[in-house]
Amino acid sequence: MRRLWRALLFSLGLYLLLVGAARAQEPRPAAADAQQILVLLRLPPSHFRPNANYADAYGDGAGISARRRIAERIARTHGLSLVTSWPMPMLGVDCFVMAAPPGQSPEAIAAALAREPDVSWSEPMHLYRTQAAPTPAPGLASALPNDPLFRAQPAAGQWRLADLHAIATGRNVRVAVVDSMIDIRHPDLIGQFQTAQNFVTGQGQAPELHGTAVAGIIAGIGDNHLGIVGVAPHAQLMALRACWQPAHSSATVCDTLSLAKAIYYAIDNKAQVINLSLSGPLDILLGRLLDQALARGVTVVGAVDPMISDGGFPASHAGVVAVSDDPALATAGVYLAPGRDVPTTEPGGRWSMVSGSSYAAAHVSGLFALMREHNPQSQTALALVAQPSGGGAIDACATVLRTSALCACACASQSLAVVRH
Amino acid sequence: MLRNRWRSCAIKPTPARRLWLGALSTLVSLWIAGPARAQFNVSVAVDSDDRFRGLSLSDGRPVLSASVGFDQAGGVYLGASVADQPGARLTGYGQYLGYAQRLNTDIAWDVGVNNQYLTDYAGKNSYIHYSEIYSGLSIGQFSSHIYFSPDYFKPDAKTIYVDINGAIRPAGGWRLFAHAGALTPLQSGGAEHYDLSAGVARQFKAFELHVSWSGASPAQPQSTTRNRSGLELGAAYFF
Repeated sequence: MRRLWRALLFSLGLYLLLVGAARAQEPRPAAADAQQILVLLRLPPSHFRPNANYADAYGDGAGISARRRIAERIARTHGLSLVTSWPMPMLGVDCFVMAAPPGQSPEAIAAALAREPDVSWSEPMHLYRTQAAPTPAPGLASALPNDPLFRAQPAAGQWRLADLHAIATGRNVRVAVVDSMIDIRHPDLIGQFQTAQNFVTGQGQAPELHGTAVAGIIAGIGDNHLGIVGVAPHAQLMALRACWQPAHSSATVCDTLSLAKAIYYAIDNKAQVINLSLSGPLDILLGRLLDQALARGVTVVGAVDPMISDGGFPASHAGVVAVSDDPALATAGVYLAPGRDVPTTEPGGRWSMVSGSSYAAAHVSGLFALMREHNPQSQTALALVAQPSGGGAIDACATVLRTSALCACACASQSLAVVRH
Repeated sequence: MLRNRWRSCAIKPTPARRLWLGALSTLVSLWIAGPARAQFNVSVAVDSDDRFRGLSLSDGRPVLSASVGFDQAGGVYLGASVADQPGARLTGYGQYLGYAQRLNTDIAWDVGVNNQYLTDYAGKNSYIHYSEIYSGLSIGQFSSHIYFSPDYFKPDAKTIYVDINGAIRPAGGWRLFAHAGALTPLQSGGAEHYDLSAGVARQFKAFELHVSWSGASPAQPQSTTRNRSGLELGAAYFF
């Protein structure tokens, strides 16, 4: 018996050494790779297990290792390599990322993997792009005096922003900005964040343009004698980095896994509004997460891609509020909001002008924060007042009034004051 | 006095036979459940103490254990375990069989039976056994079960045990867990007793280290020497 005892202890020690050495040699996974495939393994429901430390919905070490072993076997069988994994108990799955050799079709591999008995489903890793028009040279307003940009904000006139703020400012409404790295120390944004999480690996850590611009439109600080005022200046932002700006490029991209992690975090941490100023192909995993969010009463706002007939995913997903800045696209189910020549925050304490449906979506996310301040139930596109109804240009004042207890005169009585202010 | 009473319920010849019977029933259950769409796990563990509901089952001595578990896609789960002490004979073995389903994305329920046997209990030449039927709910990070035993550590000792457990994962690989339980004897004159435990576990791929504290109220029926609170250090390897 003592021999067995010693042999076991020796084996465990040896294992620790080997694992340590192996981990030191593991390559860091690339964040974006068109040849990556997501493999979703079933997560058994949590249940009693004697002699185990108390576990949560993700299970204990034995279950985690069992699924990892299955994933390794599947990867071996199909000539893939295991990159990383991410638990998603909310969906009842454990998500494994596998890399395929160059030259193979990720779609074909995913279809083959889906036939494995242990796999709930499998899909290629998709890429998504933010919906911003090319940005002019940065630093537009860096030399401008304090608080000069309010009058330049399209929402100041079109949405009568000051009037809206007399009714609501989005106080204590949690808005998740799933985007690129936000400059959370920007003087027009500092203190507006409940949390900042980075779900992107293998990319730089510097603040990026798109996320910072979207955050400023939603919740730029008001009355601080600086730059702009956000649509919901008292909302609590959750800065969830799921996208990144590749080196030497002004484009911003995201992938399925980083988006799934960020959306999962937003749902798990009780976000009330999720802003998705991005677009790409239909995706099962993201679709199921959005369904979870919508079922829990979260408002999800998506930017319409003008290059895709149905607006692209996630704007095309049932229940997501689809938003565009282009009147030609504001047809049934697509809402029109300010999104052209919008002054907003830029990394490095600057401000710049941006255009695109990304920013129109940000406006609508801010608008929902205003609505939910007084009425948490106003969570879907049905709460929006638009012309024509069910899509088209949003009447922000009427929308907010509809969900507040104030009389309809509140906007009208102050509407001119906004312009004079 | 307590020790004498304890020995009075010793049943020497049956443990080995029960072990084989348990192993056979586990294999039969595995065969019935079928291998398709199932997750199978095997683990071995070393712990500085074998603590159960606030009691030290090994009298504060280290224990080696091995477990197998099986989760079938349809909801059936089952498993078995054995435990041993260095320098002693086999000290424990058991099986469990249950059924679990999700009510929705956050809530799961399960029902099952659990049989555990302990031989050379706490280094003494005795044998005990308990069986339970249980049912419970798991809601996200929390779970709670109610257990009924017709023979909790001695024949005809009917008990109800209720526990609540929680676990959080503050960072990758780390898990903090806590447990509270209350055991109620159903016979007249029996006193309720309570136990608490809390700990932390860190998993490195297939290897886990854990440390926990547990303690119980002094009214444990088996022995006043075994219910002292204490720390337990352990390591487990998952195959």
